Amino acid sequence: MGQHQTHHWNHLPHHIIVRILSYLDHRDRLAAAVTCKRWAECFSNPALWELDASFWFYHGRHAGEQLNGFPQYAKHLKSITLYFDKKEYLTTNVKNVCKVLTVLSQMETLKLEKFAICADYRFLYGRNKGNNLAQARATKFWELMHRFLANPSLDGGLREVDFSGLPVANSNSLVNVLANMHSNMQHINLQNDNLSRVVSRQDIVNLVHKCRKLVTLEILDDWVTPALLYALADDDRYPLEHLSLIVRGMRKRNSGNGWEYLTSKLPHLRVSVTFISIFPLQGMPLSWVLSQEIPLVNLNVSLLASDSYISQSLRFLSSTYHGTLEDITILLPPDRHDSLLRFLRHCHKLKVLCCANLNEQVKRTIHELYPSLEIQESPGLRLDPGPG
Amino acid sequence: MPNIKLQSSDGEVFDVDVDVAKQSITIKTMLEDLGMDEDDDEAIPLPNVNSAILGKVLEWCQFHKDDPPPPEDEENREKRTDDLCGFDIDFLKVDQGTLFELILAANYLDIKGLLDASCKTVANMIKGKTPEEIRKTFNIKNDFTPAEEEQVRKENSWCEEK
Repeated sequence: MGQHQTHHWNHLPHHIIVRILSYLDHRDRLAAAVTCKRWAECFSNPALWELDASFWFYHGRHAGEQLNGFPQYAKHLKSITLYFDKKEYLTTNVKNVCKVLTVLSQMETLKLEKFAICADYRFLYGRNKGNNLAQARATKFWELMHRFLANPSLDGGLREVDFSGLPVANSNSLVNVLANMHSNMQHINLQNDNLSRVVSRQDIVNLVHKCRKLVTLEILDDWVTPALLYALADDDRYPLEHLSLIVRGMRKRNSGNGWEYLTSKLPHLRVSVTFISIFPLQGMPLSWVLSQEIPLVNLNVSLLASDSYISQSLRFLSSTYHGTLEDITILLPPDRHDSLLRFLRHCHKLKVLCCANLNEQVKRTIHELYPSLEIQESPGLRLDPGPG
Repeated sequence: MPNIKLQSSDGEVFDVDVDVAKQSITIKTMLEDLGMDEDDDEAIPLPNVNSAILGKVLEWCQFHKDDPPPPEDEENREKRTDDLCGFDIDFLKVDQGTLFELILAANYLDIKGLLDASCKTVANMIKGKTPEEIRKTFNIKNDFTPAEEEQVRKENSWCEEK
Protein backbone atom coordinates (compact mmCIF):
# COMPACT_ATOMS: atom_id res chain seq x y z
CA MET A 1 0.00 0.00 0.00
CA GLY A 2 1.62 3.17 -1.10
CA GLN A 3 1.45 6.28 1.03
CA HIS A 4 0.07 8.45 -1.74
CA GLN A 5 -2.68 6.39 -3.22
CA THR A 6 -6.25 7.50 -2.80
CA HIS A 7 -7.98 5.59 -0.06
CA HIS A 8 -11.14 4.06 -1.29
CA TRP A 9 -13.51 4.44 1.60
CA ASN A 10 -16.21 3.44 -0.88
CA HIS A 11 -14.62 0.02 -1.03
CA LEU A 12 -14.07 -0.92 2.59
CA PRO A 13 -15.18 -4.50 3.28
CA HIS A 14 -18.89 -4.71 3.97
CA HIS A 15 -18.56 -5.92 7.52
CA ILE A 16 -16.39 -2.95 8.43
CA ILE A 17 -18.84 -0.44 6.99
CA VAL A 18 -21.61 -2.23 8.86
CA ARG A 19 -19.59 -2.01 12.05
CA ILE A 20 -19.05 1.71 11.58
CA LEU A 21 -22.73 2.28 10.83
CA SER A 22 -23.72 0.28 13.89
CA TYR A 23 -22.13 2.91 16.10
CA LEU A 24 -24.33 5.63 14.62
CA ASP A 25 -27.85 6.59 15.51
CA HIS A 26 -30.40 6.35 12.72
CA ARG A 27 -30.05 9.89 11.50
CA ASP A 28 -26.25 9.75 11.14
CA ARG A 29 -26.55 6.23 9.78
CA LEU A 30 -28.76 7.44 6.95
CA ALA A 31 -26.49 10.42 6.24
CA ALA A 32 -23.56 8.00 5.86
CA ALA A 33 -25.62 5.61 3.77
CA VAL A 34 -26.47 8.13 1.07
CA THR A 35 -22.83 9.05 0.46
CA CYS A 36 -22.34 6.20 -2.04
CA LYS A 37 -23.88 2.96 -3.32
CA ARG A 38 -21.61 0.68 -1.32
CA TRP A 39 -22.49 2.34 1.97
CA ALA A 40 -26.17 2.34 0.99
CA GLU A 41 -25.98 -1.43 0.45
CA CYS A 42 -24.57 -1.83 3.91
CA PHE A 43 -27.40 0.25 5.35
CA SER A 44 -29.79 -2.57 4.44
CA ASN A 45 -27.52 -5.23 5.88
CA PRO A 46 -29.43 -7.44 8.31
CA ALA A 47 -26.61 -7.39 10.85
CA LEU A 48 -27.11 -3.68 11.27
CA TRP A 49 -30.75 -3.98 12.17
CA GLU A 50 -30.78 -7.05 14.32
CA LEU A 51 -30.41 -5.14 17.50
CA ASP A 52 -32.89 -2.35 17.59
CA ALA A 53 -35.02 0.05 15.69
CA SER A 54 -36.87 2.82 17.37
CA PHE A 55 -39.40 4.62 15.25
CA TRP A 56 -40.06 8.21 16.07
CA PHE A 57 -42.45 9.93 13.77
CA TYR A 58 -42.48 13.46 14.89
CA HIS A 59 -42.61 15.51 11.78
CA GLY A 60 -43.36 13.16 8.97
CA ARG A 61 -41.85 15.27 6.25
CA HIS A 62 -42.05 12.49 3.71
CA ALA A 63 -45.41 11.11 4.57
CA GLY A 64 -46.12 7.84 2.88
CA GLU A 65 -42.70 7.28 1.44
CA GLN A 66 -40.56 7.42 4.49
CA LEU A 67 -40.95 3.75 5.29
CA ASN A 68 -40.57 2.27 1.82
CA GLY A 69 -37.17 0.86 2.80
CA PHE A 70 -38.54 -0.69 5.97
CA PRO A 71 -39.66 -4.11 4.63
CA GLN A 72 -36.06 -4.82 3.57
CA TYR A 73 -34.80 -5.13 7.10
CA ALA A 74 -38.03 -5.61 9.07
CA LYS A 75 -37.56 -9.34 9.23
CA HIS A 76 -34.23 -8.97 10.97
CA LEU A 77 -35.32 -6.67 13.73
CA LYS A 78 -35.22 -8.00 17.24
CA SER A 79 -36.67 -4.98 18.89
CA ILE A 80 -39.11 -2.34 17.75
CA THR A 81 -40.29 0.67 19.64
CA LEU A 82 -43.04 2.83 18.21
CA TYR A 83 -43.26 6.29 19.64
CA PHE A 84 -46.42 8.32 19.69
CA ASP A 85 -46.31 12.03 19.93
CA LYS A 86 -49.51 13.55 21.18
CA LYS A 87 -49.29 16.44 18.76
CA GLU A 88 -49.22 14.13 15.82
CA TYR A 89 -52.01 11.72 16.62
CA LEU A 90 -54.15 12.64 13.72
CA THR A 91 -51.47 12.95 11.14
CA THR A 92 -48.38 11.26 9.84
CA ASN A 93 -47.44 9.67 13.12
CA VAL A 94 -50.41 7.33 13.15
CA LYS A 95 -50.19 6.70 9.42
CA ASN A 96 -46.59 5.62 9.81
CA VAL A 97 -47.29 3.51 12.85
CA CYS A 98 -50.01 1.76 10.86
CA LYS A 99 -47.60 1.25 8.00
CA VAL A 100 -45.05 -0.37 10.29
CA LEU A 101 -47.76 -2.60 11.75
CA THR A 102 -49.02 -3.51 8.28
CA VAL A 103 -45.54 -4.60 7.23
CA LEU A 104 -45.04 -6.53 10.45
CA SER A 105 -48.38 -8.28 10.18
CA GLN A 106 -47.51 -9.50 6.68
CA MET A 107 -43.91 -10.62 7.25
CA GLU A 108 -43.35 -14.30 6.74
CA THR A 109 -40.32 -14.38 8.97
CA LEU A 110 -39.91 -12.32 12.08
CA LYS A 111 -37.23 -12.44 14.71
CA LEU A 112 -38.89 -9.90 16.90
CA GLU A 113 -38.31 -10.38 20.61
CA LYS A 114 -39.29 -7.00 21.96
CA PHE A 115 -42.13 -4.73 20.99
CA ALA A 116 -42.96 -1.48 22.68
CA ILE A 117 -45.43 1.31 22.16
CA CYS A 118 -44.29 4.39 23.93
CA ALA A 119 -45.61 7.90 24.09
CA ASP A 120 -44.13 11.16 25.17
CA TYR A 121 -46.29 10.83 28.22
CA ARG A 122 -48.11 7.86 29.62
CA PHE A 123 -51.80 7.43 29.09
CA LEU A 124 -52.36 7.05 32.70
CA TYR A 125 -53.44 9.83 34.78
CA GLY A 126 -57.16 9.94 34.51
CA ARG A 127 -57.04 13.20 32.59
CA ASN A 128 -57.11 11.09 29.51
CA LYS A 129 -60.67 11.31 28.29
CA GLY A 130 -61.37 8.39 26.02
CA ASN A 131 -59.33 7.40 23.05
CA ASN A 132 -56.59 9.62 21.78
CA LEU A 133 -57.08 8.84 18.16
CA ALA A 134 -59.81 9.88 15.80
CA GLN A 135 -62.30 7.04 15.52
CA ALA A 136 -61.41 5.78 12.04
CA ARG A 137 -57.69 5.75 12.75
CA ALA A 138 -58.24 4.21 16.15
CA THR A 139 -60.14 1.32 14.62
CA LYS A 140 -57.50 0.76 11.97
CA PHE A 141 -54.65 0.95 14.46
CA TRP A 142 -56.40 -1.48 16.79
CA GLU A 143 -57.08 -3.92 13.95
CA LEU A 144 -53.46 -3.79 12.81
CA MET A 145 -52.17 -4.35 16.33
CA HIS A 146 -54.22 -7.55 16.33
CA ARG A 147 -53.08 -8.69 12.93
CA PHE A 148 -49.48 -8.08 13.93
CA LEU A 149 -49.67 -9.86 17.28
CA ALA A 150 -51.53 -12.74 15.68
CA ASN A 151 -48.95 -13.11 12.89
CA PRO A 152 -47.85 -16.75 13.15
CA SER A 153 -44.34 -15.70 12.08
CA LEU A 154 -43.80 -14.34 15.57
CA ASP A 155 -43.82 -18.01 16.49
CA GLY A 156 -43.71 -17.60 20.23
CA GLY A 157 -40.50 -15.60 19.94
CA LEU A 158 -41.85 -12.47 21.54
CA ARG A 159 -40.31 -12.07 24.99
CA GLU A 160 -41.13 -8.53 25.92
CA VAL A 161 -44.02 -6.15 25.30
CA ASP A 162 -44.54 -2.67 26.60
CA PHE A 163 -48.01 -1.24 26.01
CA SER A 164 -47.65 1.71 28.35
CA GLY A 165 -48.04 4.12 25.45
CA LEU A 166 -51.11 2.60 23.80
CA PRO A 167 -53.16 5.55 22.55
CA VAL A 168 -56.32 3.52 22.32
CA ALA A 169 -57.80 0.30 23.67
CA ASN A 170 -61.09 -0.90 22.28
CA SER A 171 -61.36 -4.14 24.19
CA ASN A 172 -59.53 -6.68 26.27
CA SER A 173 -58.69 -8.68 23.16
CA LEU A 174 -55.05 -7.59 22.90
CA VAL A 175 -54.31 -8.92 26.35
CA ASN A 176 -56.07 -12.15 25.41
CA VAL A 177 -53.96 -12.50 22.26
CA LEU A 178 -50.86 -12.13 24.42
CA ALA A 179 -52.16 -14.81 26.76
CA ASN A 180 -53.14 -17.21 24.01
CA MET A 181 -50.33 -16.78 21.50
CA HIS A 182 -47.32 -15.50 23.36
CA SER A 183 -46.86 -17.70 26.35
CA ASN A 184 -43.06 -17.29 26.24
CA MET A 185 -43.35 -13.70 27.34
CA GLN A 186 -40.91 -12.69 30.05
CA HIS A 187 -41.60 -8.98 30.47
CA ILE A 188 -45.00 -7.36 30.20
CA ASN A 189 -45.90 -3.75 30.81
CA LEU A 190 -49.62 -2.89 30.78
CA GLN A 191 -49.42 0.32 32.81
CA ASN A 192 -51.80 2.20 30.59
CA ASP A 193 -54.93 4.15 31.30
CA ASN A 194 -56.76 3.06 28.15
CA LEU A 195 -56.21 -0.60 29.01
CA SER A 196 -57.49 -0.05 32.52
CA ARG A 197 -60.98 0.61 31.16
CA VAL A 198 -61.29 -2.55 29.10
CA VAL A 199 -59.10 -5.14 30.79
CA SER A 200 -60.61 -6.92 33.76
CA ARG A 201 -58.90 -8.42 36.78
CA GLN A 202 -59.84 -11.84 35.47
CA ASP A 203 -58.07 -11.06 32.15
CA ILE A 204 -54.86 -10.36 34.06
CA VAL A 205 -55.19 -13.55 36.09
CA ASN A 206 -55.72 -15.44 32.85
CA LEU A 207 -52.66 -13.77 31.27
CA VAL A 208 -50.52 -14.72 34.24
CA HIS A 209 -51.81 -18.29 34.10
CA LYS A 210 -50.85 -18.57 30.44
CA CYS A 211 -47.50 -16.75 30.52
CA ARG A 212 -45.61 -18.93 32.93
CA LYS A 213 -42.16 -17.54 32.22
CA LEU A 214 -42.82 -14.01 33.39
CA VAL A 215 -39.88 -12.34 35.07
CA THR A 216 -41.23 -8.79 35.14
CA LEU A 217 -44.83 -7.73 35.34
CA GLU A 218 -45.81 -4.07 35.29
CA ILE A 219 -49.51 -3.48 35.85
CA LEU A 220 -51.99 -1.26 37.63
CA ASP A 221 -52.74 -1.83 41.26
CA ASP A 222 -56.46 -1.94 40.39
CA TRP A 223 -55.86 -5.36 38.85
CA VAL A 224 -54.25 -6.87 41.92
CA THR A 225 -56.46 -9.48 43.54
CA PRO A 226 -55.84 -12.48 45.77
CA ALA A 227 -56.41 -14.66 42.70
CA LEU A 228 -53.61 -12.85 40.85
CA LEU A 229 -51.18 -13.15 43.74
CA TYR A 230 -51.94 -16.86 44.09
CA ALA A 231 -51.53 -17.32 40.34
CA LEU A 232 -48.10 -15.69 40.49
CA ALA A 233 -47.17 -17.99 43.34
CA ASP A 234 -47.92 -21.17 41.35
CA ASP A 235 -45.31 -23.84 41.80
CA ASP A 236 -44.68 -24.82 38.21
CA ARG A 237 -43.83 -21.40 36.82
CA TYR A 238 -40.66 -19.37 36.51
CA PRO A 239 -40.21 -17.23 39.61
CA LEU A 240 -41.34 -13.67 39.05
CA GLU A 241 -38.56 -11.24 39.94
CA HIS A 242 -40.12 -7.85 39.67
CA LEU A 243 -43.68 -6.65 40.09
CA SER A 244 -44.38 -3.00 39.43
CA LEU A 245 -47.67 -1.46 40.46
CA ILE A 246 -49.18 1.91 39.72
CA VAL A 247 -51.71 3.06 42.26
CA ARG A 248 -54.13 5.49 40.69
CA GLY A 249 -56.89 5.96 43.16
CA MET A 250 -57.85 4.70 46.51
CA ARG A 251 -59.62 1.49 47.05
CA LYS A 252 -59.83 -0.66 50.09
CA ARG A 253 -57.20 -3.38 49.70
CA ASN A 254 -58.56 -6.84 49.63
CA SER A 255 -55.67 -9.05 48.77
CA GLY A 256 -56.42 -11.37 51.67
CA ASN A 257 -53.25 -13.08 52.69
CA GLY A 258 -52.20 -13.29 49.03
CA TRP A 259 -49.11 -11.19 49.61
CA GLU A 260 -48.01 -13.32 52.51
CA TYR A 261 -48.40 -16.44 50.42
CA LEU A 262 -46.68 -14.91 47.39
CA THR A 263 -43.64 -13.71 49.34
CA SER A 264 -43.33 -17.06 51.08
CA LYS A 265 -43.16 -18.66 47.63
CA LEU A 266 -41.01 -15.95 46.05
CA PRO A 267 -38.65 -14.69 48.75
CA HIS A 268 -36.61 -12.71 46.20
CA LEU A 269 -39.52 -10.86 44.64
CA ARG A 270 -38.99 -7.11 44.33
CA VAL A 271 -41.98 -4.81 44.21
CA SER A 272 -42.16 -1.22 42.99
CA VAL A 273 -45.11 0.98 43.82
CA THR A 274 -45.84 4.34 42.24
CA PHE A 275 -48.64 6.52 43.51
CA ILE A 276 -49.84 8.87 40.86
CA SER A 277 -52.15 10.76 43.12
CA ILE A 278 -51.17 13.22 45.76
CA PHE A 279 -51.63 12.10 49.34
CA PRO A 280 -53.57 12.25 51.51
CA LEU A 281 -56.28 10.83 49.37
CA GLN A 282 -59.62 11.09 51.02
CA GLY A 283 -57.73 11.20 54.28
CA MET A 284 -56.63 7.59 53.99
CA PRO A 285 -53.39 6.76 55.75
CA LEU A 286 -50.72 5.02 53.69
CA SER A 287 -51.05 1.95 55.89
CA TRP A 288 -54.56 1.38 54.53
CA VAL A 289 -53.34 1.38 50.99
CA LEU A 290 -50.13 -0.60 51.17
CA SER A 291 -50.18 -4.16 52.43
CA GLN A 292 -47.61 -4.68 55.11
CA GLU A 293 -46.43 -7.91 53.49
CA ILE A 294 -45.40 -6.27 50.21
CA PRO A 295 -41.65 -6.70 49.66
CA LEU A 296 -41.44 -3.05 48.73
CA VAL A 297 -38.11 -2.16 47.14
CA ASN A 298 -38.96 0.96 45.22
CA LEU A 299 -41.53 3.59 46.12
CA ASN A 300 -42.68 6.75 44.37
CA VAL A 301 -44.92 8.79 46.58
CA SER A 302 -45.97 12.33 47.10
CA LEU A 303 -46.75 13.49 50.62
CA LEU A 304 -47.95 17.02 50.33
CA ALA A 305 -49.92 17.01 53.53
CA SER A 306 -50.04 18.10 57.11
CA ASP A 307 -47.06 17.63 59.41
CA SER A 308 -48.78 14.91 61.39
CA TYR A 309 -49.81 13.03 58.25
CA ILE A 310 -46.25 13.18 56.92
CA SER A 311 -44.60 11.98 60.09
CA GLN A 312 -47.22 9.27 60.55
CA SER A 313 -46.70 8.07 56.94
CA LEU A 314 -42.92 8.08 57.16
CA ARG A 315 -43.06 6.22 60.46
CA PHE A 316 -45.28 3.60 58.85
CA LEU A 317 -42.94 3.27 55.85
CA SER A 318 -39.78 2.93 57.92
CA SER A 319 -41.24 0.52 60.45
CA THR A 320 -42.87 -1.65 57.77
CA TYR A 321 -40.42 -1.64 54.86
CA HIS A 322 -37.02 -0.94 56.43
CA GLY A 323 -35.97 -4.48 55.53
CA THR A 324 -36.61 -4.08 51.80
CA LEU A 325 -36.80 -0.44 50.71
CA GLU A 326 -33.85 0.49 48.51
CA ASP A 327 -35.03 3.34 46.38
CA ILE A 328 -37.52 6.05 47.25
CA THR A 329 -38.75 9.06 45.33
CA ILE A 330 -40.66 11.28 47.67
CA LEU A 331 -42.24 14.67 47.32
CA LEU A 332 -42.48 16.63 50.55
CA PRO A 333 -43.44 20.20 51.26
CA PRO A 334 -40.39 22.41 51.84
CA ASP A 335 -38.82 22.35 55.31
CA ARG A 336 -40.36 19.16 56.60
CA HIS A 337 -37.16 17.29 56.71
CA ASP A 338 -36.85 16.27 60.33
CA SER A 339 -39.27 13.39 59.73
CA LEU A 340 -37.28 12.47 56.65
CA LEU A 341 -34.10 12.25 58.73
CA ARG A 342 -35.88 10.04 61.26
CA PHE A 343 -37.09 7.88 58.37
CA LEU A 344 -33.58 7.52 56.97
CA ARG A 345 -32.27 6.39 60.35
CA HIS A 346 -34.37 3.24 60.12
CA CYS A 347 -34.14 2.40 56.44
CA HIS A 348 -30.66 0.98 56.42
CA LYS A 349 -31.07 -0.69 53.02
CA LEU A 350 -31.84 2.55 51.23
CA LYS A 351 -29.47 3.24 48.32
CA VAL A 352 -31.20 6.05 46.46
CA LEU A 353 -33.14 8.98 47.80
CA CYS A 354 -34.82 11.16 45.25
CA CYS A 355 -36.40 14.20 46.76
CA ALA A 356 -37.40 17.69 45.80
CA ASN A 357 -37.02 20.75 48.01
CA LEU A 358 -33.93 19.52 49.84
CA ASN A 359 -32.01 22.53 51.05
CA GLU A 360 -28.22 22.47 51.06
CA GLN A 361 -27.93 22.03 54.78
CA VAL A 362 -30.27 19.03 54.90
CA LYS A 363 -28.42 17.53 51.97
CA ARG A 364 -25.09 17.98 53.75
CA THR A 365 -26.47 16.44 56.94
CA ILE A 366 -27.83 13.44 55.03
CA HIS A 367 -24.58 13.05 53.17
CA GLU A 368 -22.54 13.11 56.37
CA LEU A 369 -24.79 10.61 58.12
CA TYR A 370 -25.17 8.28 55.13
CA PRO A 371 -22.19 8.78 52.82
CA SER A 372 -23.12 5.83 50.61
CA LEU A 373 -26.68 7.03 50.00
CA GLU A 374 -27.15 8.46 46.53
CA ILE A 375 -29.15 11.67 46.66
CA GLN A 376 -30.93 12.68 43.49
CA GLU A 377 -32.78 15.88 43.00
CA SER A 378 -35.99 15.72 41.10
CA PRO A 379 -39.33 17.42 41.14
CA GLY A 380 -40.43 14.38 43.09
CA LEU A 381 -42.76 12.04 41.31
CA ARG A 382 -42.45 11.14 37.73
CA LEU A 383 -45.72 12.88 37.11
CA ASP A 384 -45.78 13.61 33.46
CA PRO A 385 -48.13 16.33 32.35
CA GLY A 386 -51.38 14.93 31.07
CA PRO A 387 -52.64 15.61 27.60
CA GLY A 388 -53.88 19.07 26.81
CA MET B 1 10.06 -13.25 27.23
CA PRO B 2 10.41 -14.87 23.78
CA ASN B 3 10.31 -12.67 20.73
CA ILE B 4 9.18 -13.27 17.18
CA LYS B 5 9.98 -11.49 13.97
CA LEU B 6 7.36 -9.93 11.72
CA GLN B 7 8.11 -8.75 8.22
CA SER B 8 6.15 -5.92 6.64
CA SER B 9 5.17 -5.74 2.98
CA ASP B 10 8.11 -3.44 2.26
CA GLY B 11 10.59 -5.83 3.84
CA GLU B 12 11.20 -4.27 7.26
CA VAL B 13 11.57 -6.80 10.07
CA PHE B 14 10.10 -6.08 13.51
CA ASP B 15 11.32 -7.93 16.57
CA VAL B 16 8.29 -8.29 18.84
CA ASP B 17 7.38 -9.78 22.19
CA VAL B 18 5.19 -12.83 21.49
CA ASP B 19 2.49 -11.74 23.90
CA VAL B 20 2.26 -8.35 22.21
CA ALA B 21 2.02 -9.91 18.75
CA LYS B 22 -0.55 -12.48 19.84
CA GLN B 23 -3.20 -9.82 20.21
CA SER B 24 -3.43 -10.35 16.50
CA ILE B 25 -5.56 -13.46 16.17
CA THR B 26 -4.08 -13.95 12.70
CA ILE B 27 -0.54 -14.11 14.11
CA LYS B 28 -1.66 -16.15 17.12
CA THR B 29 -3.27 -18.71 14.81
CA MET B 30 -0.16 -18.87 12.64
CA LEU B 31 1.99 -19.54 15.68
CA GLU B 32 -0.30 -22.09 17.26
CA ASP B 33 -1.98 -23.92 14.40
CA LEU B 34 0.62 -23.77 11.73
CA GLY B 35 3.32 -24.94 14.10
CA MET B 36 5.51 -21.91 13.69
CA ASP B 37 8.05 -22.08 16.44
CA GLU B 38 8.49 -19.14 18.73
CA ASP B 39 12.26 -19.55 18.70
CA ASP B 40 12.28 -19.71 14.95
CA ASP B 41 14.53 -17.14 13.46
CA GLU B 42 12.50 -16.83 10.35
CA ALA B 43 10.29 -13.73 10.11
CA ILE B 44 6.53 -14.09 9.62
CA PRO B 45 5.65 -12.27 6.40
CA LEU B 46 2.71 -9.88 6.56
CA PRO B 47 2.28 -8.96 2.91
CA ASN B 48 -0.76 -6.77 3.49
CA VAL B 49 0.77 -4.35 5.97
CA ASN B 50 3.49 -1.82 5.27
CA SER B 51 6.15 -0.87 7.80
CA ALA B 52 4.64 2.50 8.75
CA ILE B 53 1.29 0.90 9.59
CA LEU B 54 2.79 -2.23 11.17
CA GLY B 55 4.86 0.03 13.42
CA LYS B 56 1.70 1.85 14.50
CA VAL B 57 -0.21 -1.40 15.00
CA LEU B 58 2.55 -2.82 17.19
CA GLU B 59 2.68 0.40 19.21
CA TRP B 60 -1.06 -0.06 19.86
CA CYS B 61 -0.56 -3.74 20.79
CA GLN B 62 2.29 -2.85 23.13
CA PHE B 63 0.10 -0.38 25.03
CA HIS B 64 -2.86 -2.76 25.22
CA LYS B 65 -0.94 -5.95 25.96
CA ASP B 66 -2.42 -6.34 29.45
CA ASP B 67 -6.02 -5.68 28.41
CA PRO B 68 -8.54 -8.41 29.18
CA PRO B 69 -9.58 -10.32 26.05
CA PRO B 70 -12.48 -8.64 24.24
CA PRO B 71 -15.92 -10.20 24.88
CA GLU B 72 -16.99 -12.81 22.35
CA ASP B 73 -20.59 -11.77 22.41
CA GLU B 74 -21.03 -9.48 19.43
CA GLU B 75 -24.71 -8.92 20.05
CA ASN B 76 -24.33 -7.28 23.38
CA ARG B 77 -21.37 -5.20 22.46
CA GLU B 78 -21.54 -1.61 23.55
CA LYS B 79 -22.80 0.73 20.90
CA ARG B 80 -21.38 3.81 22.50
CA THR B 81 -18.43 5.58 20.96
CA ASP B 82 -17.44 7.86 23.81
CA ASP B 83 -15.68 5.11 25.72
CA LEU B 84 -12.32 5.22 23.91
CA CYS B 85 -9.40 5.49 26.31
CA GLY B 86 -7.12 8.53 26.19
CA PHE B 87 -4.35 6.55 24.51
CA ASP B 88 -6.65 5.41 21.69
CA ILE B 89 -8.03 8.89 21.13
CA ASP B 90 -4.53 10.33 20.68
CA PHE B 91 -3.29 7.28 18.82
CA LEU B 92 -6.07 7.60 16.25
CA LYS B 93 -5.65 11.33 15.68
CA VAL B 94 -4.18 10.63 12.26
CA ASP B 95 -4.98 11.61 8.69
CA GLN B 96 -7.84 9.69 7.10
CA GLY B 97 -5.39 7.72 4.91
CA THR B 98 -3.59 6.31 7.93
CA LEU B 99 -6.89 5.64 9.67
CA PHE B 100 -8.08 3.77 6.59
CA GLU B 101 -4.96 1.61 6.52
CA LEU B 102 -5.13 0.96 10.25
CA ILE B 103 -8.67 -0.35 9.82
CA LEU B 104 -7.60 -2.67 7.01
CA ALA B 105 -4.58 -3.83 9.01
CA ALA B 106 -6.65 -4.43 12.14
CA ASN B 107 -9.10 -6.37 9.98
CA TYR B 108 -6.39 -8.44 8.29
CA LEU B 109 -4.47 -9.09 11.49
CA ASP B 110 -7.76 -9.68 13.34
CA ILE B 111 -7.14 -7.34 16.27
CA LYS B 112 -10.62 -6.74 17.59
CA GLY B 113 -9.77 -3.96 20.02
CA LEU B 114 -8.00 -1.89 17.39
CA LEU B 115 -10.74 -2.52 14.83
CA ASP B 116 -13.35 -1.38 17.34
CA ALA B 117 -11.43 1.71 18.34
CA SER B 118 -10.74 2.76 14.75
CA CYS B 119 -14.32 2.12 13.60
CA LYS B 120 -15.60 4.13 16.56
CA THR B 121 -13.25 6.93 15.59
CA VAL B 122 -14.68 6.92 12.07
CA ALA B 123 -18.22 6.89 13.53
CA ASN B 124 -17.32 9.89 15.67
CA MET B 125 -16.05 11.69 12.58
CA ILE B 126 -19.37 11.01 10.80
CA LYS B 127 -21.65 12.14 13.62
CA GLY B 128 -23.59 15.32 12.95
CA LYS B 129 -22.31 15.70 9.41
CA THR B 130 -24.28 16.02 6.20
CA PRO B 131 -23.69 13.41 3.47
CA GLU B 132 -21.65 15.96 1.52
CA GLU B 133 -19.45 16.69 4.54
CA ILE B 134 -18.94 12.97 5.11
CA ARG B 135 -17.89 12.48 1.48
CA LYS B 136 -15.43 15.33 1.83
CA THR B 137 -13.96 14.04 5.08
CA PHE B 138 -13.33 10.57 3.69
CA ASN B 139 -12.86 11.29 -0.01
CA ILE B 140 -15.88 9.18 -0.81
CA LYS B 141 -16.82 9.34 -4.46
CA ASN B 142 -20.55 9.87 -4.96
CA ASP B 143 -21.66 7.22 -7.46
CA PHE B 144 -25.37 8.02 -7.08
CA THR B 145 -27.36 10.10 -9.49
CA PRO B 146 -29.15 12.87 -7.57
CA ALA B 147 -32.44 11.03 -8.13
CA GLU B 148 -31.07 7.76 -6.73
CA GLU B 149 -29.65 9.50 -3.71
CA GLU B 150 -32.95 11.23 -3.02
CA GLN B 151 -34.71 7.87 -3.38
CA VAL B 152 -32.58 6.18 -0.72
CA ARG B 153 -33.00 9.15 1.56
CA LYS B 154 -36.76 9.29 1.14
CA GLU B 155 -37.34 5.59 1.57
CA ASN B 156 -35.57 5.61 4.87
CA SER B 157 -36.41 9.05 6.06
CA TRP B 158 -38.00 7.74 9.24
CA CYS B 159 -34.39 7.64 10.40
CA GLU B 160 -34.30 11.40 10.32
CA GLU B 161 -37.09 11.79 12.83
CA LYS B 162 -36.20 12.65 16.40
